[in-house]
Amino acid sequence: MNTALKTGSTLAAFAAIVVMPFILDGFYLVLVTEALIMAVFVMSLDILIGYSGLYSFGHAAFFGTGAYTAAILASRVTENIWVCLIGAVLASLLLSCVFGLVALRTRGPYFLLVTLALSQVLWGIALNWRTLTGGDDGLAGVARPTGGVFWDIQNATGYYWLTVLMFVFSVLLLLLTVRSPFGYALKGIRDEEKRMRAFGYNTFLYKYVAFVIAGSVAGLAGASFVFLQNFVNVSYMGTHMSAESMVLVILGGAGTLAGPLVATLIWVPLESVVSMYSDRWMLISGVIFIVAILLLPRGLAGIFDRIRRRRRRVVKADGEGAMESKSEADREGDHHAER
Amino acid sequence: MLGFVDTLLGGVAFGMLLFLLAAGLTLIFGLMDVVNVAHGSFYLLGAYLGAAVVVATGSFLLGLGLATAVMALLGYAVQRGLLQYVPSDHLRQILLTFGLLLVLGDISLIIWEGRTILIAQPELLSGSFSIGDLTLPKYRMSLIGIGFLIAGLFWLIQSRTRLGLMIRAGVDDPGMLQAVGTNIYRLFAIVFAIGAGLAGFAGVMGAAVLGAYPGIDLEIAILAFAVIIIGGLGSMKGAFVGSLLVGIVDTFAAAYVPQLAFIAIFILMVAVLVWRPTGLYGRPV
Repeated sequence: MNTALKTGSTLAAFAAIVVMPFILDGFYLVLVTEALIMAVFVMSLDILIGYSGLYSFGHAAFFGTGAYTAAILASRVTENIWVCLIGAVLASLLLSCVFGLVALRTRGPYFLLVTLALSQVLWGIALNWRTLTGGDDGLAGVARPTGGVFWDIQNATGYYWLTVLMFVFSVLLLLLTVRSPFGYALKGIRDEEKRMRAFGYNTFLYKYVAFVIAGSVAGLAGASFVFLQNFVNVSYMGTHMSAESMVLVILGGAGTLAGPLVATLIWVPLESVVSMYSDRWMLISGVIFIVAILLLPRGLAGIFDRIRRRRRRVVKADGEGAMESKSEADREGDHHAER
Repeated sequence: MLGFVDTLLGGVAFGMLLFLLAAGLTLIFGLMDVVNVAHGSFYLLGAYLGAAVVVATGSFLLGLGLATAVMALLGYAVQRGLLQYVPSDHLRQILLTFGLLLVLGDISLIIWEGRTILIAQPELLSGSFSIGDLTLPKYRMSLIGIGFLIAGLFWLIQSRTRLGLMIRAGVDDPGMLQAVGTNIYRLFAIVFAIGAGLAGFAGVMGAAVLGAYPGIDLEIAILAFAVIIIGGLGSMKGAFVGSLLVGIVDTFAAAYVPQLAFIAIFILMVAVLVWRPTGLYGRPV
């Protein structure tokens, strides 16, 4: 995307974010807040699926852990929201350190299933540990801790701004992760791990660090979510949550960050609104998935790729010869198709 | 002692039920490199359809046969109509088949209104017989017998028939198989249909012991995937051993440690994969 378009859309996004609380009322603002939180969760998974080639089917484990940790800290330990959020991140960081050690021994479909298995074991433990997690019922009435912020976050608008802060922070962190030598190495490992090892990269370490970063950010999202809903239960770390996050990464376009972001921002309100008017959201979402993946093999982000490629082809058609230089998008596309 | 034997038999029977699904998945994943999250949907639809036929006609056999046939046809259609277009891209397959899972699941909700069903065991197979001190339930034994039969049949087909030859060749090198003139699209569709039909068959058989309910599609799909992962992808022997392992562990856990029942399988999976990252009989990736 050329610079003007990029700057323009970033400014538009900022404008939209700033204007949101003034044009939306309570319910819809909460919905947008939820969408932003989920977007962070989904983007963190994109680091794994899209940038590292690690199809993690248990990412909700970190989301749920962050949520529970924040809730428990808020109810029993502190009034300061930053302590709760940092605690949540630390908890999911630790969990991802442990899970990563186990999961990264495997690859491909084995990795997919072992991450599911690990998250399900955690789910089972959480379900049974009634004294800590409330078991089946979960923890209700989780109060939003107000210590540490100078504005009122008890109302929808106030919490929206806090979420925006969290969102911007997370996006910057994730962008830093991918647009860095570290990120490029990750992509190399995703595409040609053996070759990277031949170059001397400790591919396990790179994947491990990516796994831990992704898990920690997911924990932050989980913590934000629990304070939005004032509620947490085991479904936050369940298969449905993991599956939905994975689906949104794929739908948005794995390996782009922006794709999954947009996909989630569309999806969360869509799901909410459609569910209000119809009982058939399962059917509708299923059909959307099928149609979308057949028409858009590389997800939403693929649309931009196609536009970009068409524009380049037009530019190059004025007699520069048969050889056409391929854009990075094309090369990445080839890699995706190859696999 | 008696309780132990009872649980063991139940576990082996459940394992054989899972094998029916896992065998199909092994073929589908091993040959076609397709991740089909919706495999359990054939189980669920087979169960509900079979139940409807049994209720309408009184014949268990008819229900069984019809469910299997319809699921096989559905499988053929799904492969040729949808899955064919997402070759070798696991992410797209996951999304596509997940969508299919949701669609088929919701359709079954619409038609059967979310009822839990239980098919009555056929007269021939209900009740039990005794060997010495042990009382062996006939239905469970027949399930075990069928499982072993199917396993034997698969082995026979794979090693002695032309179809098996093509399948083995296709697992090794699909491109080469196509180059020597095999219509790979038709082969894949047939294999998928076999897998789907088996799943439908398992659905009806299972509905007479476990019943069927909304949500069982995903549950049993996860169990079946657990089996092939534990057993090792692409290995029929692994699928057989894995099914027995998973069936027994799951049943024993449900009987003796109910709180951990649901996650016992996952603990097993993690343990196996830590020990052997590509499953018990899987080829090193």
